[in-house]
Amino acid sequence: MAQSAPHPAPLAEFPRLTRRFTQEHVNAYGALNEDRNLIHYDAEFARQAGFSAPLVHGAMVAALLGDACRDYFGAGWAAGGTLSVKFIRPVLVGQAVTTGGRPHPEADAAAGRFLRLEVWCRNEAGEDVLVGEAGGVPAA
Amino acid sequence: MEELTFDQVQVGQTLGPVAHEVTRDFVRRFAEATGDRHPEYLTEAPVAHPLLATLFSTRLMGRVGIDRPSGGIHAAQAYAFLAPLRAGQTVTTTGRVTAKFIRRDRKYVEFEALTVDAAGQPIVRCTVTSILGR
Repeated sequence: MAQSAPHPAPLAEFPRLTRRFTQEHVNAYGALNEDRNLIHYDAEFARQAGFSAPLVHGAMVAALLGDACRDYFGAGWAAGGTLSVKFIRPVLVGQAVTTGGRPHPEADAAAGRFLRLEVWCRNEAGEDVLVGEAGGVPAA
Repeated sequence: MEELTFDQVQVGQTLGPVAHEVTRDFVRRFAEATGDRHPEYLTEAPVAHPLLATLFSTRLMGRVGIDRPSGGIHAAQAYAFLAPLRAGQTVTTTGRVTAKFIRRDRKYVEFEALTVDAAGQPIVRCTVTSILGR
């Protein structure tokens, strides 16, 4: 599994972080968020719902994007940053996802140093699994 | 906890308050579960991953019986991070159901939540849209 490492901020480009979530990750996350939805833990339940493996909690994928935002914007992102995401496709246990981002096309110059980005996570097939916007003030 | 169906969820329904103790172990377990072992999450006095706040909203829904029927999924989430969350804090989350609607035969519930610290200072504000399983 790729690990996030501390970076000087801001980075020239949005970090591309790749992570492959295991069933152990999903179980550990479920113990924290108290979500007992079987679609995350029971392979047979997931199969009957049309998936070849249990689903990763969507918020785990959003957290990966949050890691990239923290690396990009710096520690200050935790006090003034924003993140909004839409879950486009499920991520199955065992699949790898990778973050990406670029300046938002509708970025407002009047926003000053507050920077808006288009952000996403994609699966190994290059398909969007999560898309959204992030905002923050890059560290000086 | 009895699970609420889509028909039982009421727009305007309040959720919580639910208190969360953000311990060092909690911060560390979140880092382990999400696979992000950034050094700042693993110190003796760690700052929490900002997205740890997603747990508060999920727990809030779960504690009142929303979002528990198996088969439900999250459709969208939006967060405004207002102050760093640190181990040792006890925070409180309250929320409100803001909308419910059916689109393409899917049952959506939207709610907003605010998490504050012990002094009432806001930590994170969020909006969550979920598709209920029944």
